[in-house]
Amino acid sequence: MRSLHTVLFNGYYIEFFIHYFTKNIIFNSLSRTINWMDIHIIDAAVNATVNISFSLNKLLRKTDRGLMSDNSGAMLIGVVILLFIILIEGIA
Amino acid sequence: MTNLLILLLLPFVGAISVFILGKLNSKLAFWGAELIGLTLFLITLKLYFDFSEPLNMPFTWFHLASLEIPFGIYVDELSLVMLLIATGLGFLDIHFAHDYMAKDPFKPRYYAKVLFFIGGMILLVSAKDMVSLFTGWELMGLASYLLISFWHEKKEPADAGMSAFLFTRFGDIFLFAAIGMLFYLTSSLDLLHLNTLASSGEIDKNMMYLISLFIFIAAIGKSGQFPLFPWLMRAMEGPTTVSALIHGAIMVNSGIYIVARLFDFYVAAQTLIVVAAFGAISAFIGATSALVQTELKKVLAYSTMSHLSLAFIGLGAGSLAAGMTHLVNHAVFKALLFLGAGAVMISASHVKNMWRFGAYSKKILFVSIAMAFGALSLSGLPPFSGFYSKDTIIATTLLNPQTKGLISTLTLIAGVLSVAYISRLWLLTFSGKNRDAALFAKVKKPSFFWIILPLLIMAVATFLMGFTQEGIAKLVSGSDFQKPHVEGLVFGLLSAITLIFIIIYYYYVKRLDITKKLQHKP
Amino acid sequence: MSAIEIIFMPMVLALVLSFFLRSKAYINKYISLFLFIYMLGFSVSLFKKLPDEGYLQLGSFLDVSRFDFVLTLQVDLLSTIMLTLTAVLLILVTLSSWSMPKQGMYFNLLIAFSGSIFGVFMSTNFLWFFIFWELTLVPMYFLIGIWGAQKRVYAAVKFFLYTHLASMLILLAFFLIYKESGVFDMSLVKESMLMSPVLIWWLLFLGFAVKMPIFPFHTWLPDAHVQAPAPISVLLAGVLLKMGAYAMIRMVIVMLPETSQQYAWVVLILGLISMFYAGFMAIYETHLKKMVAYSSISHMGLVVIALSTMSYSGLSAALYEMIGHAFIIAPLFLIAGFLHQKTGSWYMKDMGGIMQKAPYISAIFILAGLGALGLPSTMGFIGELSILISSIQNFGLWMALVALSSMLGAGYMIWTFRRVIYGEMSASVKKSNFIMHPIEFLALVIFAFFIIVFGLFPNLLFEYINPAFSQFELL
Repeated sequence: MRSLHTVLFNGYYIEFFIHYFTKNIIFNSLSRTINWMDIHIIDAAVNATVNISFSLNKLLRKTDRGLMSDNSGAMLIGVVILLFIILIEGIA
Repeated sequence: MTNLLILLLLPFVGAISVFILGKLNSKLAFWGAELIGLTLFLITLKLYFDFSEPLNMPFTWFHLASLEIPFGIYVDELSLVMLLIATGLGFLDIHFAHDYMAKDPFKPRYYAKVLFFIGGMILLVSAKDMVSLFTGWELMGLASYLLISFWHEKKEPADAGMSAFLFTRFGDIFLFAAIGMLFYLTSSLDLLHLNTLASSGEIDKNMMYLISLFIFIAAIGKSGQFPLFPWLMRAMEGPTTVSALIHGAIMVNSGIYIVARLFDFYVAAQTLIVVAAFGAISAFIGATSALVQTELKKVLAYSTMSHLSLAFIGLGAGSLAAGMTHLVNHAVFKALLFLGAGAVMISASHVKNMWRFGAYSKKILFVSIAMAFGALSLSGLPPFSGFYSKDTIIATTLLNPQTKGLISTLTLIAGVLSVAYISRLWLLTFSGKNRDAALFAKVKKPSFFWIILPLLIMAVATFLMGFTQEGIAKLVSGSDFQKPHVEGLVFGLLSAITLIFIIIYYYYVKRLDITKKLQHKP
Repeated sequence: MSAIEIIFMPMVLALVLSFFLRSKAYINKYISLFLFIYMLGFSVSLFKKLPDEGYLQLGSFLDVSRFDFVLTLQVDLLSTIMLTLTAVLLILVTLSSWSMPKQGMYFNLLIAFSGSIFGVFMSTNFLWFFIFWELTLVPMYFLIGIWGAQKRVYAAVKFFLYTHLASMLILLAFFLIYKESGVFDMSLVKESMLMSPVLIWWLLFLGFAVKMPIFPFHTWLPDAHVQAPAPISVLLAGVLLKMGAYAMIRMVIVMLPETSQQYAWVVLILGLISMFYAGFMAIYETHLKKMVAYSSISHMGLVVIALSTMSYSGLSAALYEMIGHAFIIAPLFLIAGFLHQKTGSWYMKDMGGIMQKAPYISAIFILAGLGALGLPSTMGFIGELSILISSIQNFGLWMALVALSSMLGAGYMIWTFRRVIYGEMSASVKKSNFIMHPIEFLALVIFAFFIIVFGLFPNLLFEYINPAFSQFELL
């Protein structure tokens, strides 16, 4: 009798069920998973790309000794590549 | 036409001006609201007496490329009845709030929100198409949210407002989706046109079934039916005058109104049985839960749920007149009961727990008499208005082969149990011995003009409406209404009512000691 | 002033001001206010001059005909609407940064920004469009990097790199178009001229998707928004995101209608994912400004859905929602920034009971929030309703699930009201006073006014929005 009374008093616990559903399914499961995914997959992918390019940066930086000959050599390679492209384009 | 436009715009304009006036002087807020409430009621009365044919005002809200989104106004008898309830009870509610909200420092805000609330309902019931209906529907939802969490600095009202908005919003998105779907299927959003289209079978049957269910979910949300009712109980955290508005005059009626407005659509879609089934479940849940509540207002809240379900069952059993007359009757006696509860709470220093009352009829006799009228009407005793519609609904369910059986049994149980909880409420509050002497000593008499008078007006109304039921039924259903007759039903009901009253009287007045042991210990 | 001056004059002005008016920096805000009002007047005056169909020529400049490098300035109704929106937002942003620290530089950057953004909307030459498109980033970078919050440098770099990478794709697409069609003007390119429209479509779509932003290219936005000062967030959400959507309409949907139609399902699905994904993110978020940022992504998801219909009604709905979103999200950002400034915290648990301290600001926050969740009589509702209707008209009844977005909106907004506006006051709220600079408050009021007026009378906007698309040939 007492327990029936309690069930009735709480309106058959329907609010409890709905609350449980929204809190655990929508909020804790769905939203939290999406949030975790956003931080650990999508944003992480972006950050990883940035980090990789930064470390590549550092590596490349070490090759740059600031000598005139290096720079002119690089320029020469560039010119050769450009000429090559123009040649191929011209033939095609 | 002009009257109707004034009726539609005045609440919103009034809400703003009441707020500004109230900032100058907080008394002006009340008087402005009272004046506007009265004007609204008088205009509605004038519309009612001048009524000859439906007022039809099609507007276009906006053009989306080549599509035309309408925003039309349409007022017929059904709308007029709803308008009379909303403005009449709304006015009495504003009047009552003079004392109830007397000590509140935020009166301008309160009255502005109440007018906004009434305005939302006026727009809803005078809508011609789904878009204007949805606008009224949502504005009302917003106003109820703001009003329920009126005392927003406390935790419970703030939570209650949030819960009300989210629960009703959950239903509303289905109505919103239904708007888009109907526009695609019929390229019309006109409610009456939809009825004709549905009856002539021009809409796909399966789609119609789905859409009518969608609209019904919205109705469930707004009318606080199973399973979207918890907000209705939480809404008790707001001011009692607001509860009276939500549960009696305005908000919860809208769900039933939309089903009644699209009644032919529902008939054609064959979803009325679903309406009746959900109604029956809610009626049972509401009636049984109301039996054991300790708070005065919570009993009334569950009883609202149960009684609106009766109206849904009436509609679901196929009788527009039965459902709508019950809605009208319920609006009046429930507003009366809520305001009566408010009066008790004013006198008893805002205590809600019934177990601390008792023997209050010695101190506040008029309130107890008025609430007795409401209780009698709610329990369905002739010649009060509640008797007529409740009896009709039960008879209709018994006569309809689809609802006969489980649904009609649940309806009967809910109908009969309503006697139990309302007599329990009245007996615990007004008779027997007082159970909290300190509180009892402090009980003060409420003012006659501000508190007692609106209660008496409503008490007289709920009594007199018992004699005009045929007229109301004709107004809301638009045709002559034949009251279904089931042999021996009235006699059976009356004897059940008497029996239950005696049981309740025995356990709650004579042998309170047994009952007290049963009470829920929080 | 001619069109070219309206673009370059602000840039020159910004330079001049930064050299000469260093000591009287406060004058800058008046200068920028007047400049923006003038720009508004200029854009409004364009409405009258516009021909019934097609472009209004504003002249060609900087003619290097050898490379088709003509700065062709021409506007149609669509770009005029965008110009007007930009000018209005710039004025309101100026008002709402009235008490910003380090004013001189701030308003200079804003002035420089205004020139380039006008350039984006007025130039139809691909290269110039691209130049202006990139130029908008520079002032933004500094605005976020200097006036931002703690992690501002990270955010500014992320924002810059992200959008820069996207720009590379766009630039590639532009050169491909030039190579294949020989035309360097977006108003002249037809899909039939192109040999590889699919590749170009993908390049352009991905490039603009970052700016919109569409899932999964959205992660720069919460960071940039959170770290940016509040008025700059308004500009980001109100103008920069709209720039992406504008480019999407102009260069993806209108320029490449057939390929767009072919890949409409991709756009649609990404839009739906954006909407739901960001909605759920916003529900979980406890950081106030991040919540607003996610709601912004969610709304742009709605815009993407509307764009994916590739129909007149869908485009009109998208443009309305873009404008509505700009006005709705602005007060939310501004108030979030204001609350952070006063309480010293971004997290909702440190707020609460703001209504008791600042009722009017709270009321505007609630109003804008209700706009975000699509309550009728606000701009949000009209946007959602028209997107719902147009997407159902195009994709069928199952698109009714767009309606769920307003449930998500209600979920995060109402809960935010509960945690921030209502309830008991937290300790930090109790001890601070919530007094706003009156001019900044005025800006909020104007935003609120727009939300309601255009929500009640949407035809005021649709009168211009509908004909803006009727000149395009869609499939």
